[in-house]
Amino acid sequence: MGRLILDRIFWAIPTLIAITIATFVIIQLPPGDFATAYIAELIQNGETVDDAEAARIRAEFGLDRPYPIQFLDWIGGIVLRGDFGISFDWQLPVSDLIWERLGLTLLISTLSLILTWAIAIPIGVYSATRQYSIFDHVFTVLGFLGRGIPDFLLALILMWLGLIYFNFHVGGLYSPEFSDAPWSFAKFLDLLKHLWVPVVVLATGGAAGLLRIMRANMLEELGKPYVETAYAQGLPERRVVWGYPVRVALNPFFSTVGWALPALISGDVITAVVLNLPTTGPLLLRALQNQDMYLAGGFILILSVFTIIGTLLSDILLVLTDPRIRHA
Amino acid sequence: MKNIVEIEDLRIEFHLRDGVVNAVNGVTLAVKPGEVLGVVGESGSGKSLSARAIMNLLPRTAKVTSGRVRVQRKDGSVLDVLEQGRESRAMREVRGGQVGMVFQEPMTALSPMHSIGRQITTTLSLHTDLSRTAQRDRARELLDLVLLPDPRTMLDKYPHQLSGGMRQRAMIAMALSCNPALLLADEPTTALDVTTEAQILELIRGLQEKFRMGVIFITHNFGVVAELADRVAVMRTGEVVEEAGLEEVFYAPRHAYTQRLLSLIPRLPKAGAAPSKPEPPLSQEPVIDLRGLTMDFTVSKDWLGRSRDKLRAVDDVSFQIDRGETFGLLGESGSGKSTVARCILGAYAPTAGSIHFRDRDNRKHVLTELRGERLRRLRQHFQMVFQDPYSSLNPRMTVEQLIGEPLVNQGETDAGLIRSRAAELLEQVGLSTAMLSRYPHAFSGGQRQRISIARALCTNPSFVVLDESVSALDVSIAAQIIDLLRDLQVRLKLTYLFITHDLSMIANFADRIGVMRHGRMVEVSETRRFFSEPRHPYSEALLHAVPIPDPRLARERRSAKLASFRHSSAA
Repeated sequence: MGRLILDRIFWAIPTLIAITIATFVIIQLPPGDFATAYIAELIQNGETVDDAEAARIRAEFGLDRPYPIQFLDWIGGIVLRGDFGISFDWQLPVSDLIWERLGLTLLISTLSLILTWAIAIPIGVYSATRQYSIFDHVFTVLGFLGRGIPDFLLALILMWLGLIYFNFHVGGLYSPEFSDAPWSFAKFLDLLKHLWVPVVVLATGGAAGLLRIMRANMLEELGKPYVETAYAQGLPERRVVWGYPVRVALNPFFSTVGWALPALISGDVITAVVLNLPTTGPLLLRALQNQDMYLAGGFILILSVFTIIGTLLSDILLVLTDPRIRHA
Repeated sequence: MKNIVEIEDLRIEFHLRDGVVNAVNGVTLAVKPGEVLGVVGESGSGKSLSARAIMNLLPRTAKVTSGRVRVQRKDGSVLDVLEQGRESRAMREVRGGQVGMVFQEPMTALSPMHSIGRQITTTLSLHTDLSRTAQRDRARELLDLVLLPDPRTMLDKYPHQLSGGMRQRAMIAMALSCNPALLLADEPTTALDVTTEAQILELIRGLQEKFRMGVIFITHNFGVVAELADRVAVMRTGEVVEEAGLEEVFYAPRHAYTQRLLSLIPRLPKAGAAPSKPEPPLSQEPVIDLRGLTMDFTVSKDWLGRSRDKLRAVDDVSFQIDRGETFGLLGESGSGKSTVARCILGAYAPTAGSIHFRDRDNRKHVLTELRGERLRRLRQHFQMVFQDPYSSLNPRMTVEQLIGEPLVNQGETDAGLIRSRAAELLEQVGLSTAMLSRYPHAFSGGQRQRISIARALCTNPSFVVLDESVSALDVSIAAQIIDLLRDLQVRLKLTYLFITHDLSMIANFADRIGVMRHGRMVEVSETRRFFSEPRHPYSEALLHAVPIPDPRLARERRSAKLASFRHSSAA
């Protein structure tokens, strides 16, 4: 088992190198660069920029050097000094911009993931064991509704309800008076008051889809002979269901934990924009729009690293839970 | 109650969208302590449902409309099973405690997520107050009892690490763990190879005698019943049509259905009965000519993608098949017989060796040298019929589309022509052309296999591979399909390669038999000669392992075996 994990970690290294190169190529792909956009903005503001001036600006950003040098400079800074470069757009270090938002993003995403599973798994199991019962039908309808309603719409509805009926300050993660205040217990309570909206919004959408998957997985497993064997041993239903088919049906969940990590960071941009959340999604969107290459590149790189870590996590979880993989 | 279980006038219905199905129709059965009751019937006869009623584990959609099932409990009191709730404590005590059950599919009947030891100790923890260490000791004892090698390490193994036969032994250990008075065995050897089947039957008999257990042994195979049962109940469409002592059923069957079933059993030619014909000289122009065929599979690769571990699935196999001949390729699972077929059909590129093929016009093709388009065009000359008629037909295609598909693949676009060809083929395999627009789910297993055959014949092939094509069917249906295949062979001048693990199927069908083991061809012989004078010890072992549908012969064979065993152990 240890060998398997070491093996996976070893393979992550060439994957990472390939990803950094791909990332750099991708951010260079659109025509023009940040200097082009910057000069266009200057001209729009009525300044005259001649060729010499343009070249000077380009040199100032380091954009006149050959691509391989730019790449080595960029990646060298990250590996050796943890320096992701400066965001052209914000004129701030990329690492500051990203890390500041990453913590909150992880918090919201992890909470919503836990809530998603807490809703989807029990309901999925119930629906499958009582297929075509009244509650199965009810949950099916709710599931399709949850799947069908876009997250941002649900966010708007919750915000509206909160404002009209509970007089909450909604949107953002803090009330105005706390947004720049240092951490205190009061600020923490304020955070909790705001946090539930995005968590519920993100969890319901995810849970609706997951619950259908769980139900389908369970229905397939419940029909297998080993379930009948478990009953024939004399086990009560609850132990049969949760101890045998559920364990197998959870496998697809474990194998997708890895995707949840990067989705946590890049996903749900629209919801985050609507809810005015200081998470990473909106920042990434803006960096891509403005060709803010170091910021965008830094983001994509971190996303990729998270994908690799997530996949590794999935592999480890599967090895731990499924003897067929452990003793393959 | 002197019986350990009594079923009285049991009736079970299923309410389906298009009506009510009477699955069990007034079944009455009883088993005395220490008695083996063989329940024989084809699929849909209600035999499995009746057994599940004893455990009160019927499918939730099943409705018991009348009857009663009584089980004697450990304390001697009698439990009316169907009066109990499915989840009641009394029922849970019966399951696994008083009645143990063994299922057909050893591959899927054990939990893939728990170790063998864990699955046994779980049963023990439900029905005994043994401590954890005592449970583990008992589990080890049980694994030893079912003759699994090295029980101590076996405890921590998972089902996927064991072979089919070993899993079935583990399953039996689990069923017997709490000393049940009754063992329900539902087709426990059907999915196993003949030699493994013989071992498992011997094990069950031995344990039954040792513990004086009652056994209900459900099977479709009369041969298995003859080896094991004291009494036999024959079931058809939810009813017991005949119930009598073993010899009575075999030698003086009263019901017409029993007589018909017995007459349909393919019987092996008796050893030494047939005069051995001289082996016919090999034809100069065989349809298929295999020389030194070898196929390696890569099991694992090193980091450069070079294969590190190789599995030799087929090892230097040579044989010829003459025009119009049926060549039976016999072997147990993993012997490489299907790999040979796939190499011939071009699905695998063999590692070494050559395959020559002669088409209808006697043109010779070297299959092993053909690639791409030329191989694809040649494929119309050889086709395949698969084992499972339920999964080998796409459920979303109509019969017409299914049968016509090979023509479409060969580039035919004329819909009228495809339709008329499909209709013609459907009639050839004995189905009505009115069925062209139906979907596979509307057909029974036998009908589906006819559709598969029609599909295989679509491109007018001269060579057809039949890969276990009748193994999944009931005996009466299998016999019909074999008749159809014979008839088509004569009419259309077909050459067959018939792959099977079932000796009795091949006995009356194949002209010659090749026996494969561990990737090697151990013997090729003319069929009658094979049965009268098997030359390889493995062929002999196979012949001896087949259950004989004749109780007296079976008993003779057993005592002969015992005598020879005593003799050899005395020596």
